[in-house]
Amino acid sequence: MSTTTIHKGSALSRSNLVLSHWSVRAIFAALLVLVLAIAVLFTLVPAVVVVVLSFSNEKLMIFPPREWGFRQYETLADASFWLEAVRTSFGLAVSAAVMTLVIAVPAAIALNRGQVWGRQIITGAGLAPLILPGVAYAVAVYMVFLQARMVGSPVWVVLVYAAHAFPYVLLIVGTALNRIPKELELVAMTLGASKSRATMNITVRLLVQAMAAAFVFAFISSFDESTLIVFIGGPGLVTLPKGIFDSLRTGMDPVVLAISTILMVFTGILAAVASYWRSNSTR
Amino acid sequence: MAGTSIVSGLELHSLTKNFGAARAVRGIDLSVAHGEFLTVLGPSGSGKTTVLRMIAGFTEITSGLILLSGRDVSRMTPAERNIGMVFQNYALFPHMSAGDNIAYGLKMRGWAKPERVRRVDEMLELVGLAKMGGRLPRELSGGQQQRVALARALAFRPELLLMDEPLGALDRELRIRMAGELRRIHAEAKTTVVYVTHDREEALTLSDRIAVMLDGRVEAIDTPERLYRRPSSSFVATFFGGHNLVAGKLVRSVGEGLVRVNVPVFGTEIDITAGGDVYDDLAVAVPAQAFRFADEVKPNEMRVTLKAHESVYMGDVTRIVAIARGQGVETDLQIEVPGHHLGAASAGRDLDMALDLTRCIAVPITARVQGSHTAEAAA
Repeated sequence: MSTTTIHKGSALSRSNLVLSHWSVRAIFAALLVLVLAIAVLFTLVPAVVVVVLSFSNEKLMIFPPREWGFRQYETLADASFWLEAVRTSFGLAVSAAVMTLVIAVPAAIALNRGQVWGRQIITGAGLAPLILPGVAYAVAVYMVFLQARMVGSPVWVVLVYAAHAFPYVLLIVGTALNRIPKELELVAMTLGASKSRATMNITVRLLVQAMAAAFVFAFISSFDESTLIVFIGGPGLVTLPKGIFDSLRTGMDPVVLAISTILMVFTGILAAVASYWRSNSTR
Repeated sequence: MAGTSIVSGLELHSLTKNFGAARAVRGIDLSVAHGEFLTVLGPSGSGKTTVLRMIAGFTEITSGLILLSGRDVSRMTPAERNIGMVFQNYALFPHMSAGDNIAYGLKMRGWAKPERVRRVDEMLELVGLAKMGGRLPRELSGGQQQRVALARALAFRPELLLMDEPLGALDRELRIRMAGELRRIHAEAKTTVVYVTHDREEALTLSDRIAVMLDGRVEAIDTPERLYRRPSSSFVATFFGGHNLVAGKLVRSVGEGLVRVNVPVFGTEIDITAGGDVYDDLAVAVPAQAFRFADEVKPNEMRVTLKAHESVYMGDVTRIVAIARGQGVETDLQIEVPGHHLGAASAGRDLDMALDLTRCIAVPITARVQGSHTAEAAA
């Protein structure tokens, strides 16, 4: 009998405790939602404004526009300057992404699976571009480029972009590798596969989705890049972000809004696809 | 030992592995007969996994020889050795169906498609997964995945099957069922098996012989029954047998494998079987089941008076921790008596018991080697 009363009592006090605990959590949750809403608002509103204004039919930047339409997009389709910039951006970003993958995937496998001297140091160095302040890094690279007369050379820009994207690929592929048991390759070897064949058949095969995601991230990181290119692109190498920069300096051409909109939609879709691949590959 | 005249399934000669200065495996000699099921049993850090990895070819050997059916495979790649392997985490290829997993080894070894298909069906049948060949590993339960891993390792008819704690990831009930399955499959496939585990019960239920490892050496190798009844060292007696150890001193040999031992804690000298080469200081291995409640003793029994410290009712048995005192020495003893003796063994009571001396074995005290644990950690 006495034990049951004790039980009841303790259950009651516990439920009180849970309740008060719950209300504190509710307040925190509400605060969190509020902060989040403000953050999202501040991030999204400018983007939405850009998208909406890109459908203005004015020749000049006027707010609010008196007429709506596709004028900016039509101008864009005829402007060789912008088409050239798109082509340059694509070329640089694809080359940089390919190069990053070619270097970073074997590096990730070696760092993860092999017996590498100074693993920590190499990984740290590989991730450095992620932490270095962008402008400081750009200035440093610019000095080197000036000395070596490499400013405006697409090949060297691709190389810098590859270094810039290296950490993303190293991280994405490294994470995926951590989830592939080492035993898979060992078993494949006992089953008659050579070391390299086991790596290709099993490990690399299981990395395909992570590599696709890493490729897209590397592509976006180069395609979107707007700091380095201002320094090392020189006058000749004009990418989309650089073109937008340049056109703003000379005046406010509303065509920029159309470009920005396309850029946002394009990279947004890419990032979404890449995230999906990534979550799939690490399931 | 089995198969001394014919060529053994597996032979290890002075197999040694050093990781830097750490000596993980210290010169192992071992011979496994064709079709034999040998378990390598040892605590973590004993070097058993390193031995397995060297046999498989994953870890380079420092020195020694590995002979597979008389063929020296010491320096071959894993692919060239013709050894099947089953890991604790199954290591199934997640992007391949169960059938493709099993077929992988056949494909690598150049089997033609029709033979491959036939063999995969045969293996699925053998492990009781007929018609499940199309499933992906993640659509199978843990037990089923382990069966696929086993089928994959046996499909290409390896000369030797290595298993690294294959039942470790399964829950207790499934483990017992899978152990039975393993016995049946081993009987059907007739493959030589080397099985690594730290679980004594698994070793007991599965093995033809057991090699007990400690500090990178084989401490003892024998049938489960002989290891249990006649342990050859104090480590084998405790780790494998779960026996009590009582300190003793050799008085002299009395013939017929018997030695006279002075046991201070019992306050007397007893004549018992020697399990190994015993010298001055030794240990007496006393099984927990060698005691019984009795008013009078039979020949070959000795009267002992103990004090019960605690007792636990386990259903069919009651487990007692009792203290033996004599000549200024005190020893804790684990005792098992039939379950209904619970009342007689409650804490603090004096226990008048008879100890069956035929079940006590004089064993040499195992000398532990320093630094061997770091060796396994380095691996």
